[in-house]
Amino acid sequence: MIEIRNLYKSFNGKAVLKGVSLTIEEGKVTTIIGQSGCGKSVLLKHVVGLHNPDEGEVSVDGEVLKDLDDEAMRLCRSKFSYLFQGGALFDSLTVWENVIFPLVWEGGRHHHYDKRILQKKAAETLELVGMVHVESLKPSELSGGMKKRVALARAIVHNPRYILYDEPTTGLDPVMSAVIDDLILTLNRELGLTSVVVTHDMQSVAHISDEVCMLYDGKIIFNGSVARMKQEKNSVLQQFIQRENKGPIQFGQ
Amino acid sequence: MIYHQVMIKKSLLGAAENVGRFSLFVDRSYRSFFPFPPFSHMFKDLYEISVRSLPIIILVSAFMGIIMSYQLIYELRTFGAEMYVGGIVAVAVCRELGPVFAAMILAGRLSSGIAAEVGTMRISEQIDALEVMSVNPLNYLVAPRLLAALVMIPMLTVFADAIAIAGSYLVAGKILHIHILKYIDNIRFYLDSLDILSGLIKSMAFSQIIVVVGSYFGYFTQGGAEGVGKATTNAVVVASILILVADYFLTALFFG
Repeated sequence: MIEIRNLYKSFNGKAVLKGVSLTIEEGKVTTIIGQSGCGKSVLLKHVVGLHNPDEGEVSVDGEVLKDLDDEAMRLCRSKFSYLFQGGALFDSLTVWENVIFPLVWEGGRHHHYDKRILQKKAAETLELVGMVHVESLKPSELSGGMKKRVALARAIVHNPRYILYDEPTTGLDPVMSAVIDDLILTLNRELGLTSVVVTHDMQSVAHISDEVCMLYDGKIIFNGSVARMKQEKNSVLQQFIQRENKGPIQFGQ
Repeated sequence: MIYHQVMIKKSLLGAAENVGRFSLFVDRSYRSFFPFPPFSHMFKDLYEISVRSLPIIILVSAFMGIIMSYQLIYELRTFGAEMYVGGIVAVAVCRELGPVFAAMILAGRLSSGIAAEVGTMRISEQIDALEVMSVNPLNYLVAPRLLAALVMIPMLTVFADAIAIAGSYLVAGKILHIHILKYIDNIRFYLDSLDILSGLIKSMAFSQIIVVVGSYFGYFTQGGAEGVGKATTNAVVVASILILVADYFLTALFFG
């Protein structure tokens, strides 16, 4: 279980998170929605210790991240996978080398495996995300959507317990978005992975979420199921989910 | 007046912060050597530093030797001492010019390249991805380069010295009609092992400056493509300055 308690974070004097508290339960798909630039990705990065909070704390399975030494942090991070917004594939490696990277560098140490076994594993994992015959390409030869799918393959290759998705369907066509949504659900339902998804895609939210929370003005203003979200009276939430340009959320806010 | 005081204080604090951050980065980089980077991972850096840098090193060193020889013969003729040109060139090149010139060229080539590559990795979240995968970014990105540079840059420096001396002979042989054996004999008379050793030790120190400065500016890149550009420029400028400062202290240590 991931617990975020009273999290505050500012960048250059600008407060992004203003006391966020959230519990992410094991085995569920939790989606975080909110305007662009409201701090969703920042919140996600706190969960894996890529950002340190100004105040508050994050704990994973009872371990408070800020109290962990380097070795303990490495162990804690090995439970996670993170799908970055732009994919964050390593430019100098081929697609298959990118996919098997978490296996080769498991626990922060380089391991030697049979190249053929690794290539086979990479091909199998890539097939899961609808990518075939791209193993030997470099990331610069892929489109944005393809990069994201390769990054997703890299995220799932080492069977993590928690997967954090930063806008997994942005830049993908509707069919591929549906494939990715189904994949998130499959990983969750069949392997019991806990997923945290940051997204703007409300169709995707309705399809995959067990829990939805909305971040607005640095705080969580809603946390509940999809059914509850639709009935919620909060005008900010309703404006957001109904895609209205008039309401409490102002353009450029 | 108060405005200027505030600005000076701010600049000094900023400089102190940068020095502190750089010191911590250097400390963390050398601590990251273990687990030892795999050789296959270092191979690309060895190749980049050696083979890819060789043409420019050959070109610059050859011209350095040729020009020095011309200048020295012109001046030494006044005293009738032009026959000593080989010894003077060899001592100057091995002690000072070879290591410093090679380091300056490599600072321009490697520090900027490292800063651009690491900086791009920073802004495209590839370094964050390494951290999430429990891989120490310094072990993955900096340690192999430090090791590769430590091996290759002294070798390139020896090569640069040899090319400069050969370039110098081309001129001396043509103008003064000195036989090559006499030229080598003159070099052997003036050049001793400390001259070569000090040059090698200097090049080892410079190799670490080149890599660590490039990595530092890349690692702390902010602000997209513009940030990468700034990091690249700063890396070359700071590496060049630090090479000269280190050269001063090392020269004082060996010959002071």
